[in-house]
Amino acid sequence: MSWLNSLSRFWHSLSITVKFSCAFSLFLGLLLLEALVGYGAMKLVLQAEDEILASVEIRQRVFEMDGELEKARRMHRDFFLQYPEMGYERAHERYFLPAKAVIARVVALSENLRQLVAVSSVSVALRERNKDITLYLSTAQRFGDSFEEIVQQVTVLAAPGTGLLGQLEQLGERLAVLLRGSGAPYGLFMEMDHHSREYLITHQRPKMQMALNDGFRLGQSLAAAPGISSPQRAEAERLLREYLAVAGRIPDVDVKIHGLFNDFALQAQSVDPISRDLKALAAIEVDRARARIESVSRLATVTIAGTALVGLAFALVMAWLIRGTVTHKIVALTQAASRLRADTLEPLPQAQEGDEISVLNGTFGSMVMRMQDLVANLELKVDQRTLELAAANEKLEQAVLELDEKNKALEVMTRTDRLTGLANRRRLEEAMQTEVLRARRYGKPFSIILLDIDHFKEVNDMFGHQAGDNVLIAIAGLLTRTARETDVVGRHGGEEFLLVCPETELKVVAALAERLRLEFAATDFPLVGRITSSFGVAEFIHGDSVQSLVERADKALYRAKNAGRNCVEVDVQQGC
Amino acid sequence: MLRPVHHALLFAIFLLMLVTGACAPAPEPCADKLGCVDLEPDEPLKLGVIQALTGKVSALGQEQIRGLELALARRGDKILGHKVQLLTEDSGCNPEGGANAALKVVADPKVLAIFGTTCSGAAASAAAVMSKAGLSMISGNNSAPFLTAIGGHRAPKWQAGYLRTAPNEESSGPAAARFAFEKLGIRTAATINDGDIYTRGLTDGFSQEFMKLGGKIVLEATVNKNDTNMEPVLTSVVNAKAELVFFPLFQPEGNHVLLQARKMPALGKTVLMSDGSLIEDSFLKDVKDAAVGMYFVGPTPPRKTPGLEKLVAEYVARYHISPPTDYYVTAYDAADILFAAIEKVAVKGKDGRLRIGRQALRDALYATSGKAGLSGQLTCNEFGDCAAQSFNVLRLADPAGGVEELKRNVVFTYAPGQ
Repeated sequence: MSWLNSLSRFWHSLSITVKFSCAFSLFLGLLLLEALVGYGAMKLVLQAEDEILASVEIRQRVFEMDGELEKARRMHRDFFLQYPEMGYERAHERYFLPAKAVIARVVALSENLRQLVAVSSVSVALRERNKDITLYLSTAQRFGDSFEEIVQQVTVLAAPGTGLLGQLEQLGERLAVLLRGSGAPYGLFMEMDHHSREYLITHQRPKMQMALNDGFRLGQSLAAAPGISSPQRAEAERLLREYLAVAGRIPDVDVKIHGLFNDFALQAQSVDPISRDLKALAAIEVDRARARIESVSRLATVTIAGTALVGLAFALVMAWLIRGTVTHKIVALTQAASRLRADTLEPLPQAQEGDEISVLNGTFGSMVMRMQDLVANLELKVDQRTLELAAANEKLEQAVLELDEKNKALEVMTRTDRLTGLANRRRLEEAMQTEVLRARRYGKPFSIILLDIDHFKEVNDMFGHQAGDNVLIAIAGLLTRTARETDVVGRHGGEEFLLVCPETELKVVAALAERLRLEFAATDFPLVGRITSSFGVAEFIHGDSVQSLVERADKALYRAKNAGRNCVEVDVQQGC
Repeated sequence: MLRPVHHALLFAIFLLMLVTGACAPAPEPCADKLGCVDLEPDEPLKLGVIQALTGKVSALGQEQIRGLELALARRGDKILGHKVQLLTEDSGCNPEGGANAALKVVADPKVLAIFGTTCSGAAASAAAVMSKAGLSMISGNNSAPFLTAIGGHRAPKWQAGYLRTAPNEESSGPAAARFAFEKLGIRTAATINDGDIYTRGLTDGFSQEFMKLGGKIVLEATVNKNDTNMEPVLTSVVNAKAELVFFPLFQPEGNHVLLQARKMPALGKTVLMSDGSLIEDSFLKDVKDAAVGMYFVGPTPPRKTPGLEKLVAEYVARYHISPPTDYYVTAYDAADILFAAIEKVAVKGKDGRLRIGRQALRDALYATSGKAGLSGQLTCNEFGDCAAQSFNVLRLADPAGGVEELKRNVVFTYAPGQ
């Protein structure tokens, strides 16, 4: 089944959107088909309903028309049955005039029926019977005309006073009166009267002809009758002539009436089958329409049910196809994702190319492969990275150490005089500021010693700056060795040095300064020889700042210089 | 989804349907004042046939139908390629039958014309219905003067569209009267009719002519159809002392009159004369010798021509008997005139539809002129008479010789205007 394979391949190659579009289009098609079937069935049923209604209406009209015609016929019959009893005029009024109105209704009904059949959605067979309705219509009209004509003939025959029968009766009575007792003429009259009455009963024309022959003989007898006077004879002969004339006309009128009755019979022969057939056809039409409704309903039911079943089967097939080509892939993908979540990095099954899920599956597969690769190299990479990190950390620690050292060096550099290694002026000021704060807070005494090398310019000028620097370095050594551990010794600038002596009163400091002076004076500096120094000593007093304290020490130093140098001067505000 | 090409195709089909529908030849409105009969190519051409098909006169009705069938056969049973459907109705040879039969025929709007009737009484009522419906009607048998013209004037029962190829028997009565008065020397005569316009027309014509010649009508009697006892009317004849009785009756009333007259000694010398309605083998076989010496007045038979000989041969070949009367010939001519007129006025459309105007057909029928019919030359006048009037008076000498022998025994011929 290569075409099935081709179809399967084609189906799999479609995208999900196209697949769902196809499925929903087909569902829509089925819905449309059902709607069309329903619409068609409804239309056919409505058409059949129209036919039934039209047929029922036609049948009703035929019944009505037929009933009216029958009514007219009954009136026609009753007219002839009743007029001898009730009198012509009353019968005319009671039967003839209403019959005319009824016939007019029949004519109108048949015309109406003809139009109804022409415009109705009835069968061809019924529509073709329109010519019969035309015949019915024209026959009904003819019935009316014939009825009128027959009444005219009956009027001629039987109208009171003027009718031929009445005239014959009157003439006969007068002749009888005139001829009674005349012997043979009266006998002939009686024969004539008898034959004419026989005619009136049998309507056999020879009877009337016999009456006429009797009249002929009566006429001959009258001429020869002895017992009749001349006036009587003349009157009798006149009455006889009139009698014979009237009698001669009566059969002609009867023939006409008979012909008209025959006409009625023929009309009935024409019309009765028409109404019967129309009723039957209308009934057949109704049955046919009903049968059509049933068959259409049956067909529609079968079609709709069939379509529904096909739809259901199609839905199942589509579900199966969707499951096979969409859901199955999604489930497989989900399961693969679950396995991934469970740390199982199994390779994904290879999906067929085509829809979006296949593309997603492909992407997901690539991702899994990538994860597998990542997981497989993770420890190695971690060790590698750890080593790399340790090396980096070591480098960093080394750098930190180096940095600390450099910082320390920098700190030293920023707080130490580079030449002498003593605290520099900044360090000295920090130390004094600290002591000032402590003195202020705790009331602890502290003092400072400011010393300046005497005639140091001369040393530089005489021995050079390097010799001067050496002197400075040597004095720094002396100071460091001589000062207490808690004292801060620093180079205040040039050839000036400052000692900060915490928790030391002025007299102790002055003693320290004196000892330093003595040691300096006793020290023999290389190349330079003996050098002296002048000292100014001051103790922190309340309200002092670092600056005011140093100024007081400096003033004391100035006095020492002025006092000949190589001496120790104490701040005057405190006395030595 | 339909592709654009599908849309284009559907649109093209729609346009084609629209154009085809728009270009379909719509039937032109009928310009004929009496209307038209349109026939589809496969639709039969309908003709009504109203004849006397029951009773004693049915033989004459049958002859009419045979004349029609022979004329149709000559055209291959088709007219202008259309089969001919005959809607045949029995008139019963009476006015009521004629009228009701005509009503049935004209109820079908596709009926083009009527072929009929047999009896003049039926013709008068049928023609009234037919004419009102706008049809045409032609007969090969009606001869009552009342139907067309009397004395060159429109007769009381004249109807537009009615024509006939049987001669107007306006001169039939006069022919009998002239023969009676001039050849037989009769001076008193009686007439008996049956109340029908045919027989009444003949007796009236006889009476008028007879009295015009100087004779006396001593009795004008009427019998009813189906009367069997003719003695009273014959007694009247005796009483009237008539030398001749003219009774143009049909069978069986004519038979009864003859047979009962022969039984009345008082009528032994009375001349009995009837007309063409009794010139039939069935009558001669019924009355046998009683008819010897009896006179008949009837249309002059058609001259024997090769055309007529051929028609006789066709008749014999088709019906396996010799024609009992000559009325099938006039029926043939009537049908032939009708068919020729239809062929003349029918208009065939491009779609094959045949259209025949009813007034046009009437006009064509009335326009028939100098047509060499098998019954003689036919020219239809404004009253519908197409045949020339010529009547023979026949005397039956040998009943065994039948109608043919009777027709040969011509004792008098009357052909006014010829």
